[in-house]
Amino acid sequence: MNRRDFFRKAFSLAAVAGISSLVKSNTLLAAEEGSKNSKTPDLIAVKNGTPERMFDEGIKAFGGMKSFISKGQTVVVKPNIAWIANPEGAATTNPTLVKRIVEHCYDAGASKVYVFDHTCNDCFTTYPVSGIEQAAKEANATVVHADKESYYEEVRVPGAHALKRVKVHELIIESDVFINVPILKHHGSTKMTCALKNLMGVVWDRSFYHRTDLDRCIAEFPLYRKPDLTIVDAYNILTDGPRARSLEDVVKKEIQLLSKDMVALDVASAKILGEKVENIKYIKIASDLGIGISNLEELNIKRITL
Amino acid sequence: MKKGELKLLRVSFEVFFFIFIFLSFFRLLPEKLKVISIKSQIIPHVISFFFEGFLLSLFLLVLLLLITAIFGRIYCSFFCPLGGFQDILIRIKKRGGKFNYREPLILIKTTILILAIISLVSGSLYLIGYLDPYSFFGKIVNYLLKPFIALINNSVELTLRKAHIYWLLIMRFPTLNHLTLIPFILILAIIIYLSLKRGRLYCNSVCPLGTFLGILSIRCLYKIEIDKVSCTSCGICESVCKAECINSKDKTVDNSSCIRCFNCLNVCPSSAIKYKPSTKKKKSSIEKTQNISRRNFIYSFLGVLGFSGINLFLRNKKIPVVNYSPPPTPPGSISLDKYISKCTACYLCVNNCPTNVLQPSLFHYGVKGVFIPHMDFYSGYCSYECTRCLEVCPTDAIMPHTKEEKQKIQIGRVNFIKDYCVVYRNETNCGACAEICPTAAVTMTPYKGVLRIPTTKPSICIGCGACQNVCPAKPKKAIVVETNLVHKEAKTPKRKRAGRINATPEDFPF
Repeated sequence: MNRRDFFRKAFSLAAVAGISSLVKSNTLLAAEEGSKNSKTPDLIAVKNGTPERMFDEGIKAFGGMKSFISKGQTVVVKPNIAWIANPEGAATTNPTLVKRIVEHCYDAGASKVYVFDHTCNDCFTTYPVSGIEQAAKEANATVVHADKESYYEEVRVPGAHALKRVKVHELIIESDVFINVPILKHHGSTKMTCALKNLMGVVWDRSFYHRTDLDRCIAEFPLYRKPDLTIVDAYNILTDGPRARSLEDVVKKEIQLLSKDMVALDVASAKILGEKVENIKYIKIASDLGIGISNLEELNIKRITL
Repeated sequence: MKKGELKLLRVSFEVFFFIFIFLSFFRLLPEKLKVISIKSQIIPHVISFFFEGFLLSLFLLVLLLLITAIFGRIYCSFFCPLGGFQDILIRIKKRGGKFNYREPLILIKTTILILAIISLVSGSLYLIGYLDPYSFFGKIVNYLLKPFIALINNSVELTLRKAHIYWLLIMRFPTLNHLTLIPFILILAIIIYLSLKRGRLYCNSVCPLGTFLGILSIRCLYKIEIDKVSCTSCGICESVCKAECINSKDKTVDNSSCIRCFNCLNVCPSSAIKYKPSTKKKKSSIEKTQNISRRNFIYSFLGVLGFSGINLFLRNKKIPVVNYSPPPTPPGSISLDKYISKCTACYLCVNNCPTNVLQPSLFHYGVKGVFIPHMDFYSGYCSYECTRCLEVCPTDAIMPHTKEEKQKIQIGRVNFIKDYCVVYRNETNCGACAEICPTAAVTMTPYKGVLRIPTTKPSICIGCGACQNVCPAKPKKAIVVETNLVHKEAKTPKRKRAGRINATPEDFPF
């Protein structure tokens, strides 16, 4: 009995100490953010809510969708619908989040909102099974396919070494606003798939990426076009991905990140996933190319806990 | 039933089955509806029963043959999609029609019937694939109608898409092989020529099923008969008879050639031509054809027996089908030999395959299996969750299995060739094969530094070919599927435990 009591006390003490130290560091960070005092935050992190609710709060902190979309603009939303998986499988973006994003776009005055992904599995199955087709259509978005080459047009990627030319989906070329909605997942070869890697779903020839230099191509694509806003869905994350094989690999994190900076998002996401940033090669290459900032301490981060 | 209603009934059935069988080659219909409409076809049931002994096939086969024995060749005008196709051509050419009575071409008919039966028992359905009206209709859809529709659809789609209207989807053009097209165009030309010139002569000279059903309907219960008293030999009925089987001078009808279109019933001014239970004693001319048919039937039967004997002898010698590694056969086909002996190449599976992995073959399965669908991992891979080809196959060349059963069928095994692999050659990350593998038979394991290289576990591989399909290595793929000539059962993969990271942490980790 004595021993058990001892352990109990020891643990509770340790827990209290841990929490207090976390709180302390948090207040310190908050103070630092205040000192930077830029008007809008560079990265917004939201915790403890449903994907829709976290998005509502996150986008509010950015000043609403109106700060990204002007009246009459066309918007393309690019979620991850790559694999045949239910929303619970955490291999595809939460359909409720996609729906809420589309609703916000229309509220901000968008003339048309498109949703598409160049899927890995057959899109006639992944679109409905993921629930995204249905959810996007409910919010009045146009769900477009991307499974044939004729949807794509070749563009030049300025300043790229590996990915000099790439065939991009015409909606990415034409749309005024580009919103990237990845789901955070572990990935067998690149270690993590999130903001930067999600953009592999807007090009035709993925096998060129794989053949040439996967990490470099992923990092170089944003030289052509960066998304105007990236929303990382880390509500449920897959720890053995990218394909949903078992529900045992799904971990509930209830986090959502919003930013224009994909590199910063990927660094923050790697920390959520528990992966070392140095091991994810494309983050370093993208940071060196000036796609974004990898040092989170340089950024004004706003943390919202619901 | 009034005489007008019979024709209406025939036209309704014909239109219904034509449209539904035609649409079965598209992804619009639910699989159940496709199966129901194609269950009306006779030859697939023959094959399914002959090789697998399925009782449902036997039941439907007996039912369809019983209908023929009672009502005559109902199949030819009610259910046959090739009949519908010809009727469309006939209607385009001449409405009302101007046909004349011709003697039946018994010698040609019987020869082709015998050839078809040899093909059926010989272990290669090459001839049946071209002579069975349903299978040939499948080829017409695959090679002619679908490319035509795709062409129109895609140009309309492009116009709409430029105006930002996304109502249509791009259709994929079927792979057209020049060699497969030669016999197809030949037979199609014969069908089109004959139907434009001589109505349903193809059904009464080439089609072996037509000949067989003709023999069955010689003694059928319900017959088209001309009342000799009220008939004025005006010849109107003869001129509308697509099967050219009414002899208005002799006032006789050749019921074995009649395809039961019921066109003649409506036109007779003196109501002398009727469809009713046969009452009269057989007339000499009918008896004549009947005797010839019976004699031919006996000859055919003896011929079939002889050829099956030869065939059995050849089969027992176990001639190797192919002497090189063929592509895998679809899951559910059990083995290459079984698959070849049951597939009529109707291309229903090819047209329903969502990933386009099923493609018409050339000589991939040797001469015996020429033109039947094969798994082409360069154009697609077999989707883990999909069972469409198993559901729709009308001849059970791809046998029905549940999704869980199908996910255990090993049609081939993965083989990783490290020397060609991008990770080994370029020392850059890839992992395309591992991420698409549905069973974790290919996984990425630590290699140099942060690099990871594929590692395979062939025992749990199902041979779906996804890894081979996505492997970016050029000119040779670094990961390929090696065919199991007889399918095996894949082992169940062991799951590793998750929970490496904590759920819902107290605070942000950054």
